[in-house]
Amino acid sequence: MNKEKLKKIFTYVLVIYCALAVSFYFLAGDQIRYRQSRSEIQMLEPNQSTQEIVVGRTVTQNFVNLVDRLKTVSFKITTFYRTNVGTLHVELTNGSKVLMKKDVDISKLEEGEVITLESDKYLSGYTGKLLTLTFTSTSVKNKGIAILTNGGVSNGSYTDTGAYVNGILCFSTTGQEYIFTGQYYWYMVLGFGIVLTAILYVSYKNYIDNKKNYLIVAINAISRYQFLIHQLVLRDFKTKYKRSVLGVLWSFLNPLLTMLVQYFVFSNFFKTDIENYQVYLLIGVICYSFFSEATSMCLSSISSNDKLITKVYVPKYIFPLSRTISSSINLIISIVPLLLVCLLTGLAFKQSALLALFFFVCLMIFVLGFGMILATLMVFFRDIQFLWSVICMIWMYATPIFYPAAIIPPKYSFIQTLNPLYQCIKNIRICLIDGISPEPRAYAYSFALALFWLLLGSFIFKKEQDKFTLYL
Amino acid sequence: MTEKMIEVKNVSMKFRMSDEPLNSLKEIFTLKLKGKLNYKEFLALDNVSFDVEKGETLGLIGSNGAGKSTTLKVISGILKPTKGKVITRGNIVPMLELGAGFDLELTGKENIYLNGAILGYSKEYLESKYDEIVEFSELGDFIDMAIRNYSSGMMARLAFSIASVVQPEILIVDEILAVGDVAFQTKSRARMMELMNGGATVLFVSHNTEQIEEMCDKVLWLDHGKVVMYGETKEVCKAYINSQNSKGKKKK
Repeated sequence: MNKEKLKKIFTYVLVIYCALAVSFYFLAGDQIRYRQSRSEIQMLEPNQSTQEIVVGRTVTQNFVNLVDRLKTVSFKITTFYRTNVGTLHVELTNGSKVLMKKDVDISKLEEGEVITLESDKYLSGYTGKLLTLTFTSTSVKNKGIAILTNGGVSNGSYTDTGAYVNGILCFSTTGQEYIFTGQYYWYMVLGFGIVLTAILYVSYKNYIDNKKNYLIVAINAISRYQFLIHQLVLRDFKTKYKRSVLGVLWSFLNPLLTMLVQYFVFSNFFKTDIENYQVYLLIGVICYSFFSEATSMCLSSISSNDKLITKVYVPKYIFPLSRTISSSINLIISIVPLLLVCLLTGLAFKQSALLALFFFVCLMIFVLGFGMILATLMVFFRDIQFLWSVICMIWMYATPIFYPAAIIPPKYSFIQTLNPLYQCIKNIRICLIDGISPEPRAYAYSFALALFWLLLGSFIFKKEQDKFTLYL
Repeated sequence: MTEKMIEVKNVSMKFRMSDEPLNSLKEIFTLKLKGKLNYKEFLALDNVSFDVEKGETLGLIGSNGAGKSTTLKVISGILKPTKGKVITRGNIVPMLELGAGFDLELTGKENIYLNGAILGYSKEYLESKYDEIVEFSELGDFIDMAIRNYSSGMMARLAFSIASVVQPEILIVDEILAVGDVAFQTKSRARMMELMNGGATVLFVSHNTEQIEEMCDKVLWLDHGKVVMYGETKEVCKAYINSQNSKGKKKK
């Protein structure tokens, strides 16, 4: 390690940071700027209706809009179970400005139908403004429709030709809201950039002054043990498929075959109405296989290298780390059949597919941290190796791999919120199947969850590692 | 030149030994419930201090269980001392166990790189020394064969060749290793001597006092984890031999 090399590494880090920040901005698209608004108005249950809307009658509903970018307004009508004639005219206005309008031929309407007004563009600038929904009609008496309302329960009101009536029309709004990550994206990039540069600068100064600095220690350790890690990963790979005829091809075939079996079982014996079920399933299978393979490899990483650890000094974290890296390479290989299945099922790739890589990385970080805990436990309690296969199985059934997440009762949904494996699977599915980027906070949350496990794992491992030699 | 390469300061090493090995949760729980979970404490090293200067060869003597191997393990970083501090400067090559980390499924060549990496050699260094290792091991074409097919002698020769290719600053030797057939034994002994006389700082454990007297500048005599004597080779060896002889007489 010398000055020039350190300078080079730090420059690389900054360049990569800038490149990632810019490419993320373009890959994530609108999803970092807007998300579905949490202030949308939900439609109330109808229990009454307005008077029949005929010529001369005007029904209006005032409401305060909290949706930043309004897209649609919907309402529910009643036909009085008869065929009506005429045209219903609906307008959404702000003061005297008409935002949306629609003429509806009421002869074709069915009882309880929901009619939606949709704006061509998102309507922004009306946050917190009073909007008015106005209904007029060309119908004659007994040939008109009415709007369903929720009366009695709620203490709002609408107007019927100028007179206030107790109750609220059954209507809803949809739209998006701004996220601060979109508004301040470049400020945030700049802010983190400055912090990063400061950290690197301080480390560099410390290096020159020969002071202790964790970053420098870490870089030294990486460059020093890089070759050993490389050799250990190579060993794992060579011995894994040694003496098997198909060799590394199994890394492709295994997830594919597992997926086929599960696909056959679940699409024939259980009804699933998940779109793109093959891809949905395969993403789950790949992530779970990685999780179970890497954790069980980490589990035995210290105890199976006992001869080495008690005879030669090697930093002990190298073993879980190298095992996680070799499993990760396997994971990367198994992305190839995933892409293949995507193509075969006619799934169009969007730019967001690249973002899935972020969640694969989160999964790897989580597994490394978790694996370190398992490796530590294994040294002291050998029972864990038998217990772990059972826990792994429970984990598999607890994670929506082959069933939709929606079937989990809401009171257990916190399990999925805390399950890093599912968080990654879910977001990878959004990136690949939905073709859009997840919400910005999904990135932050997944990363924080993974980092939490890595820190916890490193902490436990570091605290206990000196005792390993005594128990092996 | 009085640069201290190894400083051992008040090092104590305590082992906890339970009567039986406790390896499962159930055993620990049941014993804890019964209140029988008591460990015997065993002091393998008791307040040991010494320094080794650059280029010096320090011999360690003592009867079995005196703490010689523990001292070497503490210095090479395998064990962390319960108390005290060890400071080392420069790369340490422990010649304690040859062929640690050999993978039977890999070929000799692959094992050279794997084992070399474990011993802390760099890629460039291994590449430049590769031919020398193969030549010294006399394995010839067998080098591309999985070592699961090797005889134990071949494996030992390979292991010795990898370990002895180093240019260590600190060399830790637990007995002069002589492996293989008679010819290779002579060769490996010569190589070992060459390494030890090659300017490195050497820690040398042996039961052979003649070898110690021949090779070492200073000697540390350990008994039951304690330093009995530390000083010039001749004096310490003389005292050690005398005590051994008197012990032997008592037993008779």
